[in-house]
Amino acid sequence: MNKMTLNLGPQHPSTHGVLRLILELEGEKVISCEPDIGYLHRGMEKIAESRSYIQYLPMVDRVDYLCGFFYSYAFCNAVEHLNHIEVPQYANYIRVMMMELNRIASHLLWLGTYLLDLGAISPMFYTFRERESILDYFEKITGQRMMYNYFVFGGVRHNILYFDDVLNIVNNILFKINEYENLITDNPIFLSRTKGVGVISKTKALDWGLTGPNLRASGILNDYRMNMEIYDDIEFDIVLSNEGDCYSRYIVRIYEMRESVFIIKQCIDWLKSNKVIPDPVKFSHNEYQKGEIYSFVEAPRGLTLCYLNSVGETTPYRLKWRTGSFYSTQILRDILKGVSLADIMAIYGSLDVVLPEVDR
Amino acid sequence: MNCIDMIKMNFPDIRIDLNKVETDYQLYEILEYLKGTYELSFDILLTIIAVDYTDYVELIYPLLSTYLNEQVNISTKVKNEAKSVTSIYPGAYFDECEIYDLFGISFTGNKKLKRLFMPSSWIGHPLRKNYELKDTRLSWNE
Repeated sequence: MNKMTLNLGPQHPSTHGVLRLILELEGEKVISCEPDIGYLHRGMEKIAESRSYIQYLPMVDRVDYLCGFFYSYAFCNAVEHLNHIEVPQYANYIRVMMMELNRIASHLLWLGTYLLDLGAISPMFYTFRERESILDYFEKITGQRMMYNYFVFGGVRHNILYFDDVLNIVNNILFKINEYENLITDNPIFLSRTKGVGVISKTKALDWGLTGPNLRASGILNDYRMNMEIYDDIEFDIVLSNEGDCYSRYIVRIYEMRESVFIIKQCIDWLKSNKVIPDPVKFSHNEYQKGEIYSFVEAPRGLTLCYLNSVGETTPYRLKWRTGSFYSTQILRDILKGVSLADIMAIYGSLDVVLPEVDR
Repeated sequence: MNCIDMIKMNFPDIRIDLNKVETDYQLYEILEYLKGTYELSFDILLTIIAVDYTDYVELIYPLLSTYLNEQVNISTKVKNEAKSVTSIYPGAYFDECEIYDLFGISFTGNKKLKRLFMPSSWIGHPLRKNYELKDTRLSWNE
């Protein structure tokens, strides 16, 4: 049979961004796939070298606009470790609460758009409705829906939190997740599109550097929240699934949202019982230490690393972002071999790739 | 036994810094050892970090062991050429392409090196310190 080369993207609606896949097809079957990225390359790492730390801080939210808090945290944590800045416990709990709310918002967006990719339109409206309630809350606290710029070196910008609002939101979401499950989890069309499709074995997931929910869906117990200091006093379960197909990646994310609600409630309990007003941040923006810092955070799309190298100047000498989506895109080179053309979007969508994060 | 001690026992030539292990010529062997030894199982190569120090480039390989739940960084210094590790960690492919693109380091053994972010006709390697910035908007500090 004749081979055909097909360009999928860069302006394909299901890529949710600009990704180009160069596919080699034999009939309906994919023989090879080569992802072509870089359409959203903004030079985040180069820009960091010409700006002071405080000037760069608002930009880190833009690395991945769906989970800005995680990136702010990774960068702030790196600068705090570099300069030995103490963060009050109060601020740590606010950070965890905000990050987990952000994780739910990110997973909800993924859920809606993934079902949209598979041809189901209504779940998107439902998930966006709940996501909107979280974004409204973020707007109330930080003034922004997506680019928060809320974490600062040494704490958070201000600590006026409306706990009752959060409790209402998360209780509502807990109830709505059950509703989504009634709608989706046993749906025969959804099952036939996702069960046994795009299976990633354990060794493949590890070899290609998958992290986060995608790795846990392949049955590997790894969650960097276990090693993070700010999660030390917080109880949570790690969600695992063994099949490694699109369906288990869906299940892992659904249960992770429930775990996040559980974490948020613990944070609120702590914050309500410990009324501590954080000290004003005492830190001069002109004196920076020398050193190398590796700052990790478990983001919704995998393990995020902010590598910060300082030689004592007001600007970073080198800053590197490691993002989960970069490796989720890379694995397409391997796992798309032999699948049919119609399954590409089901597999690609299940990996939860956000393109600005890939290109940085 | 600590994993750094185990590396030190098998590879006495390494230097141990605050949070990384430095090696001059044994990078490939160390990575092979770390991934292949059952008690260590450093099975994920998280990324490759390149830092340009003008007269050499430092490559840092952060590894994660899902078995021990530990993390270790291996670093080496190179000029313009390095040995590819894609045969140990296939996931290093995009990272090596990225470093080839932004730092101009070629990796022997990686047959499909390409420019990942910049257009293929681009001249120069943007993350090098001697790269000339033509966009004045990048230097707002002056």
